[in-house]
Amino acid sequence: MQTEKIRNFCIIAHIDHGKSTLADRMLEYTGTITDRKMQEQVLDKMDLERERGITIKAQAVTIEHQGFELNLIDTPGHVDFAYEVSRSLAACEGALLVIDAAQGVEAQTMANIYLALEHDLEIIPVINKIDLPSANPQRVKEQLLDIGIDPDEAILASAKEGTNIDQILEAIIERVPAPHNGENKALRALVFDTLYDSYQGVIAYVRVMEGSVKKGDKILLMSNQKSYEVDEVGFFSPAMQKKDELSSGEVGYIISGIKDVRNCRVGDTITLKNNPAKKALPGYQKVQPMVFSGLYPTDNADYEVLKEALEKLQLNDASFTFEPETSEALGFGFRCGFLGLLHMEVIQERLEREYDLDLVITAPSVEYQIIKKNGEQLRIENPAAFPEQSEIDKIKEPFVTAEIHLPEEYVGQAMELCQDNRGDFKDMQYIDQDRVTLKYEMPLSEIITDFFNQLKSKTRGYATLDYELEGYKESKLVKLDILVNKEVVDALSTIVHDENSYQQGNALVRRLKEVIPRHMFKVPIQAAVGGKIIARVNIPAMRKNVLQKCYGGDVSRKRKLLEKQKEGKKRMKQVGSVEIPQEAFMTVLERDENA
Amino acid sequence: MPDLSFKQANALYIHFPFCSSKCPYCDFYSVKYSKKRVDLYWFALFMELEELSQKVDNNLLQTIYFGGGTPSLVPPFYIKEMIKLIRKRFRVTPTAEITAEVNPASINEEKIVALKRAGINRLSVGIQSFNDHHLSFLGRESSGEKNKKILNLVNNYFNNYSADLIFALPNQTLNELKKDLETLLSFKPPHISLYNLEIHENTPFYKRYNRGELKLPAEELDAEMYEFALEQLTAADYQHYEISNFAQRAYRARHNYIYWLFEPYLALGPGAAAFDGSCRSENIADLNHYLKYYNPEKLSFKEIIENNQLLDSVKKFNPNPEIKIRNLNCLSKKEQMAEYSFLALRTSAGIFYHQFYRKFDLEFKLVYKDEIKELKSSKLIKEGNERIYLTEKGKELANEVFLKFLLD
Repeated sequence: MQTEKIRNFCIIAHIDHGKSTLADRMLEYTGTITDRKMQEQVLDKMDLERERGITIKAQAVTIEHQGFELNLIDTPGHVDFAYEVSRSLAACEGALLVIDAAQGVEAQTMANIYLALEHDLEIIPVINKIDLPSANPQRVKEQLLDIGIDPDEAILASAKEGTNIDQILEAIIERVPAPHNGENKALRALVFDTLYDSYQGVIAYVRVMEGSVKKGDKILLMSNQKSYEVDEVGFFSPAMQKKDELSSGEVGYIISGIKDVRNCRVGDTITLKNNPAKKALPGYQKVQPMVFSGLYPTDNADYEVLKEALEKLQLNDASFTFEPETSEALGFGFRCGFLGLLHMEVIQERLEREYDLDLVITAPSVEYQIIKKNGEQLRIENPAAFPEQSEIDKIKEPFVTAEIHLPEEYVGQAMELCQDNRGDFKDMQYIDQDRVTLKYEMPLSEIITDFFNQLKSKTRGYATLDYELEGYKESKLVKLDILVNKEVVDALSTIVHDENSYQQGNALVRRLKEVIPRHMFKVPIQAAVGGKIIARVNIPAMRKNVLQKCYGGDVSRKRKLLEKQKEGKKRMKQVGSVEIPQEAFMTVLERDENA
Repeated sequence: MPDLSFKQANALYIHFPFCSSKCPYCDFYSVKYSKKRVDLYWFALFMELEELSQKVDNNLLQTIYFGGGTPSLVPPFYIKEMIKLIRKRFRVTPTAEITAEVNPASINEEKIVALKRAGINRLSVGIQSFNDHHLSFLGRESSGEKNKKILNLVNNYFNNYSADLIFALPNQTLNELKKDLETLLSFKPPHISLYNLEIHENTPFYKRYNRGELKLPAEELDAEMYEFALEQLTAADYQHYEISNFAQRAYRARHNYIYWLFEPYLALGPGAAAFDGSCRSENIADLNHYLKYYNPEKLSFKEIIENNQLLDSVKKFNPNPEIKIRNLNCLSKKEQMAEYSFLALRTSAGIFYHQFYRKFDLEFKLVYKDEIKELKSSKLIKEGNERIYLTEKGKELANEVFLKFLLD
């Protein structure tokens, strides 16, 4: 296809403004999908994505319309996947900016605009959901004017009812620039996502920036200099369709027998081995996990199953890491690294659903840099592995710049929350009359400790959060140990700031009292720092647990009830003589509202 | 269809699945009372009885139990006819215990007398409380005064009866339970069943409980109430012979005891379950389904009786083979051992090793060696002369004990 006939674009939107519905409607309108029975929102493929209403993996689809090839790249919608988003945008020349006609411009809309401008994308504003009784497109147009976008360029649409889809397609053709024509140059193809298929190996989603690639070519991945022979190239419609060649400006896939996604990472540049490009495309980063937690099978016998499941998940996800770890309390498991909390939750849910595993998950942690008094330097992401307090000279922890977009009325509460979480105020900017962006420098460990949930609840769901790693800084940190029935439970240890240790220790033992069931004996729960007990509560001994009525027809039902109770106990982790339920290991990260 | 095989069954349970209104805590099967449907149902019951009598031979019934639902809604002469037919089809010992559950809201002196004449020799009275506030919370249509009046009447006509009391109700104080117990004990009922309020699935209370609208008393108070009740009842000379049951000497519930001994029993009516020692057969809890299967003629019960046509009418029964009305569930040996153990442990006698051996051909002490040791050391059970039984602490934490007897 000639580059003049190609348009590459993405859709960006605040959550729930109708991004996926619009994508579906465009596919239907252009006949890309004819199957009436198609599942809602074709582009979000995983159940999890559909349930949560978010896109986790990028997707691509080629739409043919009036002799043009329109490539839609759907981007993930969460801060954890910011890097993947940036690579998807780098593959485009234009963006549809979808705004809910009733909700108007939201904080995330602004973040999206900045992102699109950063990648020099032509922005086409789409005011969606004009079918809603509460729709107020005029107000949205005024808001657009306020933020420097020409309101006359906005298209009024209803993705749900299919109104004005034709106008949107027309605007894409007319306003999004054609890709730069680099057909005579050496191949440079940007990998913006990968997928692992057990038969074909890694399927690289690419945007060819320059040159072309076809079956039989020897390709070279520029970051690691590995080379492979191309088995197949093609495009998505949305199913994979073979093609002879992918050339400059086009979006599609390359299959070349790569067996490990870690050898073909998002952001890498593919070139030809025999005619390599001089320079890789800009912006490649090897993404590093930022959040770590221990995953343990509740039943130690499931260790091998868990290992296999983790290996399988990693095939598809180069940003997820794991290595074996042992806990005194939990036995054998794995320390896993994730991009962020959502990424962590997604992986955990997939393990439990797709592999039917019962897991104990320890509270997430960051990677600390420790300098011991003897000069030894350590990098530790498991609080249980911390050296003795007396051996430590300095501890450094990762800090991020957090950007919070929110309505002005909640600024007070948000600032208070940031300060409570060791945030250092950097900046505050008004986006418009009543929208504000707050900038704080904060320890990452605070962000992953229930911060976002609390931010949401304090701003009635209006705030959005983005963060970017700044670097490591020294902090006065201590390890907070938890003793259950006088024994330290290593998996419950956390790293906290010295000043907050008393308060957090207190809050934590009280929360544990709520989730650890009563036993036949009194169970003391204690918090300690450096061997000194700083908080204590007792779980009183169980007093009464008896099924009262038990007569003829009921006996089997009662037995089943007892069996269920027994199953429940099995899912708990036996630590010494105390049974600790899974959720106890996660309560470590919750914060009390008033703490 | 596979079916139960009875070598010996000494108990018969008859379910009456009608209530004038449904109590929000109750998970027994019942539908709204209607005179027409009761007539149809009664014919169908006779048919099931007829069907049952053909499958079982040479049984000697020692107990018959009319449970519900609300059996006191049935005209007593219906019950009389039922007992008559049972006596025709089965051998019934002269000293058989024949119980009917009655609800104070649907009974009066005339009915009490009529039930006695019908052949009932034991009543189980659903008192639940004497406190009007708690009664109305439980959805009971009776009042404290009415409950007292009915107990007086029952006392006048029946030597053997039981009264149910529920405690650990939301916001109930220890003092309120004390009053309830005092009132009840003033009648000196021969038998008392004492239950704390349990929240069962598929009940209105369950929904309210999950929504957080219904708060049960704290575990401490619940235990305190139970211990208090135990003291009072023991002081009044009641034997605590089963976790929830108390009796004056010689007035234990013989029918229920058969359940706790894991002995076979027969059952009639939707939702009722029969047991032959290793399999349980449960009639599907659906009245319409049950009526479709037996398909009784739409006749007036009274006329049939007056014209002496009951047997002819019952013999016409021709069940619809297309319809499945019961589920058979055979227990594995491990399930049997678990059920046997937790049922027997409910009684003050506990588990006798030789009885276990006779049933399962296995040494109880070997099968549950570790469990016995552990439970003894945590003082939940005691070992006696070739038996184990629950300690006082064990009675309060009985589920923790029972769990140990489930086998993987």
